[in-house]
Amino acid sequence: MMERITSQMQSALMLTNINNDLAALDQTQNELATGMQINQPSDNPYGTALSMQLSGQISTMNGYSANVSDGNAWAGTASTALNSIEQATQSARTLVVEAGDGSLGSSGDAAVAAQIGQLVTTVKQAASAQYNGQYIFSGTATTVAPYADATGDAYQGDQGSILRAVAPGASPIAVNVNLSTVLNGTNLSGSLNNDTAGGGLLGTLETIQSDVTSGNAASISSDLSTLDGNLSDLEELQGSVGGLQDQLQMASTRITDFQTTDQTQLSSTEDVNMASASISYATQQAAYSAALQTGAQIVQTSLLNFLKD
Amino acid sequence: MYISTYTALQSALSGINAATEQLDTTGNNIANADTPGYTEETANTSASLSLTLAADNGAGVQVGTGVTVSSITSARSDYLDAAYRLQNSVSGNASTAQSYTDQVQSLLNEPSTTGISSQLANFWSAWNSLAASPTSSAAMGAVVSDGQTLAGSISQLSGDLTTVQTQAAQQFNTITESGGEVDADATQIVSLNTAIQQEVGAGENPNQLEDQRGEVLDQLSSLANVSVTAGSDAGDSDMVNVSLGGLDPNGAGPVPLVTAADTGSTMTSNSVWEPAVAADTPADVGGTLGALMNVAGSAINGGSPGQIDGYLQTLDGVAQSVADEVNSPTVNGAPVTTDPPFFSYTSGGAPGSLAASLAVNPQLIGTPPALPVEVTDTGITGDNDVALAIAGLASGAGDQSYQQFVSTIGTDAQAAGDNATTQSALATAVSNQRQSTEGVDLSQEETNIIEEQQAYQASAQIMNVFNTMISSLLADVG
Repeated sequence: MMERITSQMQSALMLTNINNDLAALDQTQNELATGMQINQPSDNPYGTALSMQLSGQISTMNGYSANVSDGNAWAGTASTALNSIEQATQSARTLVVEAGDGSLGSSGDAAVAAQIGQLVTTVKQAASAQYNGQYIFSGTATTVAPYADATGDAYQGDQGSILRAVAPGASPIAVNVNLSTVLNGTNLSGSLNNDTAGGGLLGTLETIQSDVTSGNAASISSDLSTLDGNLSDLEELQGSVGGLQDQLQMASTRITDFQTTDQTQLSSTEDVNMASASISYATQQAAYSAALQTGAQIVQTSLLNFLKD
Repeated sequence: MYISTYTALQSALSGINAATEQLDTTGNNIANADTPGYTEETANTSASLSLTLAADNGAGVQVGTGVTVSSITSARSDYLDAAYRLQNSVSGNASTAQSYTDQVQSLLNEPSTTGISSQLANFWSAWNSLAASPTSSAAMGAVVSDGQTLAGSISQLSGDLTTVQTQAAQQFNTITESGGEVDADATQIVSLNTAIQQEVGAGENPNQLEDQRGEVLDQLSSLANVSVTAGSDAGDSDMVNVSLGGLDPNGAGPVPLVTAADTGSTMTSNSVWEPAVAADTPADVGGTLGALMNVAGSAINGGSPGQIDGYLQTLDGVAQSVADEVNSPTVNGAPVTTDPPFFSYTSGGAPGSLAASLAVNPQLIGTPPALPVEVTDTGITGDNDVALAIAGLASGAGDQSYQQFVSTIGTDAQAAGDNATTQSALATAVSNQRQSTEGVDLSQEETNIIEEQQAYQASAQIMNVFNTMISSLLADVG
């Protein structure tokens, strides 16, 4: 407690208090107007770093989410293409069964052979499916069609994987499947066969075509069992595409969970609590008005007001 | 025992004179209640020498002869002045530090959706898009242009920090150069010193001049630590020696600014205070100048690295960390050096020069951009190993080093703000304490008026009584 209170002290104190009140009001007003409790790093240095980190994570999650959609598109396109290959193979199988019993006669056999030839083309066309301008069955050689007229059954792509990152910290997953091993078949050393004798779907269909043309009934029945083997390889591939789609679905759920968590945490870090900020604002405004009012009254009066001459 | 008839009349007159002089002083106090640096004055009265009369019993009898104003003193307290100036220096230091740290933190523009942290996020997501369509020239273009934006912002931030640093150095020079604030204050103190010594020599009370000198010293104390000592020789005992800085007894010691022997016209070389920056630490110098030395660091001639030098160095680290991780991503467990590197920078210069030089390698910029994305090892167009690896750097070392950078500046700004608030509150407290002793309390002055008015009226009444008494005596006798 000061012994003497001078007018300079009074006005200095009044100004300090009014400025403090105004600064607090200003801060709360800024928070309310921006909706953020962190408007500059010094408001909460740790919170600022956290908020930047969370925003970065959310952006990464959005990237993963885009990757999942992209992967789904690849898998969907692959699935459609594989279905049409399967349909074509099934049609071929029906035709072979009809031709196998020799009831069609040679002109009928020729028609079947022609149809099978057509189906080979259909299979190759389906194998040339594209998504977003990229050949999906050419491995990483996405600008090259897997089969070209000039090169016959020789596979033009590579065995590379198209990778998409879909989860933080996890290895990227391959969103393409390797159709060439089904279409071309592999030899004992594991490399692709690039000719008609290969044992792959294309080779089998072409063998059947020549066997039907030549009316070789004995070969046709053994061709049929090879074709069944190819068909089961194809179905396995379809299964792996289904598996990929499941995997992407799960990744998508996980990403959504992460996004929700990050968003919630970001919001609780940097967003203002409107209720408490509004109450603070009202309290600070009351303090400010009181400071103005009492300040004006104190400074106006002195002993002089009560001295009578 | 005889006594002059008019002694009492003379006593009453001295009472009227003293009361008048006291009222003058009170009036002056009230008039200067709001004058900065003014200290309350008191007209000190004492009883006049008494007359000794011989009494009938032979003993002496002392008869009072009224009152005289013996001196007019001011309520200046050297102790409180020194306490105020010390706190004022600390407070000036804190508020300058706060204003510069605030300026630095506003350059960051964080957290926001346009700051460097979101540019980093955009950059990584551009790589992610490129990984999804490795052959798309639009995606390559996006990577290059987001990279340019990011590098540009980091380089710009380095430039902005350097500008703030230069501003601080300029402010320091403006204050300390010839004709600057310190020089002007020193000149004023020297001329006030001279005037005060002259007035004292003439037997006057140079209270107003001392108040003015105190006010100049107050102003000076916000610029740096001020030590004030009285002159030691007989001829300059009412002059003051003033020196700046040198609070630390183990430091370089205070730098003399004004010596009591200075007599106005010829300023000594100390009048332009050029601190021995190499020897005096910012904390030693104190005040605004100490804060500026700390902020500007190497930007002041001979200065040692300061706050902004540190920020620039950290920013260099951030730039290098981002550039290096992009230039050599880890693909399938092994580091791959992209050729040509995505980012280019020049290392080894002054603090901030690495960040300033950060740019996207000019070899990559073109239509379509010549990115080293298509993995240098296989040359297959659809391979996205490198892009995938770089996209995976999101939230990695580069991001973290930037977040830490922002968080450090935020902590510094918060501490500087808190410190400025605390020191300014302390300065107000010390100032109040000084005001309470040295300032003009209007209630007290107004109470004094009543006392002095009554003393005046009472003395006048005595005159009146005397006048009546003598008139009746003369009438009766005559």
